[in-house]
Amino acid sequence: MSVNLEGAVGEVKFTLEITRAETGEVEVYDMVGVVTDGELEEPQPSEQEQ
Amino acid sequence: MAVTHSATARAAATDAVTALLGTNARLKFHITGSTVAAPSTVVANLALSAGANGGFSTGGATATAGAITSDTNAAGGTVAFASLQTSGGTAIIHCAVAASASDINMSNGLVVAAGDTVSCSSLTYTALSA
Repeated sequence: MSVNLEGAVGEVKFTLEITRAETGEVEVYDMVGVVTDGELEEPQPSEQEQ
Repeated sequence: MAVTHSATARAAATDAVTALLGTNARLKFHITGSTVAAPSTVVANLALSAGANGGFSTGGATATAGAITSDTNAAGGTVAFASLQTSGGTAIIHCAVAASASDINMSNGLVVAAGDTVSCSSLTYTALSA
């Protein structure tokens, strides 16, 4: 008999502020990331990239 | 089978990871194709507080970064990954950033233009959430 024990994955939280050079406009992004124990898959393009 | 860790164990795990950042660590954002073993082209490069453990607080399950210096002249590009790295560029903590099918959910894509200023007003890391 074997038992597979898996710990909960880690997490990164951060707030980004982007100040646009051209306009001076400040954009704020609250972000949450999950740190996995393996190689991360490449993300799909966001709508703005399409 | 899920595992629950004591608060002491979670704090130890978080401290052990942030210790790998050493001093003068960096918070970098990368374009698509980045991996923890080989981070891709840098979009923005921010300096963490210069102290040990990447300037993060210690002794708790969640570590909070100290003051982070803005990148006032970002290289630019579409942010796909966030990475906490040593001063020598070794990625210790690496996570995906995108609007969908990603480890981070954002309401909009995050395109940084060359010359933009990228700032991080808060940053926390938790090695084990339970």
